[in-house]
Amino acid sequence: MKLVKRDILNIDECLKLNNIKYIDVRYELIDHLVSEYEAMEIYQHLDSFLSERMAWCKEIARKKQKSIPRRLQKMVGKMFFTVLKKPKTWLCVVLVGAIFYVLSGQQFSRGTMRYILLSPLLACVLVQLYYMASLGFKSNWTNKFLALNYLVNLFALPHFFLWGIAGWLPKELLNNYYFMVPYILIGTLVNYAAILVFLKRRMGIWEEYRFIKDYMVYN
Amino acid sequence: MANSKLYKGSLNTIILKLLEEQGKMYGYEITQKVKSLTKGELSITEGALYPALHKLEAEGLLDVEVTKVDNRLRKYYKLTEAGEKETVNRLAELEEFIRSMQNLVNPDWRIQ
Repeated sequence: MKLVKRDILNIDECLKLNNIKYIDVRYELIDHLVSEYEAMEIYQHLDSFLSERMAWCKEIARKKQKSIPRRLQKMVGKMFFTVLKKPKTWLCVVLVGAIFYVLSGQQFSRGTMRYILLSPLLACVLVQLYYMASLGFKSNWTNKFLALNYLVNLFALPHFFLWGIAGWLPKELLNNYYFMVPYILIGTLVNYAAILVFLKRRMGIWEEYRFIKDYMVYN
Repeated sequence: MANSKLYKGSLNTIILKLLEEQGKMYGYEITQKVKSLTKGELSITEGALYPALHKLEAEGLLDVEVTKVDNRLRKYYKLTEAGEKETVNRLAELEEFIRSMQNLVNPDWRIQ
């Protein structure tokens, strides 16, 4: 039995009501459900068909949501090694190192020196916080929450380096430059890699969603 | 099929093999193809198929193509270059596994 536009809209509404918010998951499920329903030889009411299938639909959305943080952390790790291989990165590291070396010759207190050392890492985190605050500003609360959730997942591991300085690292290590300099260097590069992943993903997601929006039946 | 657990570890390989043969396929089509190839013995559940497809896509083994079909969008999956190489490797692994299993359960029988 061929489904009409109205039925497809009802399926989409049903998926939304069941908290399946990801548009890419929804359109894939719609196609599956419609194909399965249309191939049925014995007539079944659409509502009862949908209620029978909703359990696995929710399961797919749940698994997709669960896989996002892991996938994002993997992407950050991959990008970190890509950044490490770039000569430009090492040129920046040498330049920043030279600035620190010159500054270390000045009569700064240990605390001030620590903040100077932290400044590249803090700059990266501030850029990330700006993205987290500005993304989805004009969209509704659900979209804002989804966008924020995505960003928190993306930046969670990179921020770990900042939390280390803010809390769990012992004081002796914080005062040890042989530990702190590589720690902040790695922390800054991981945070930079996360920003690159974010920018790359944003472009990809934007293009994909624009395509979907143009073609979805309700647009 | 009484024990679908036996197939569970081979799901990704089954998907890759089908895509290698067919070029591009969508989710529902994969479930139906598996059902018809195995004469109904094996049916891939949707709850396992889509997460597997999403995982393979995230690993860069599958590429996605979205087209409009009858008032709805259809997501086709196809192998990437890395996916094609991975398919060859996984099929070789699976063949080796089947050979070993055959030797274990039926030592007189040999795959040439």
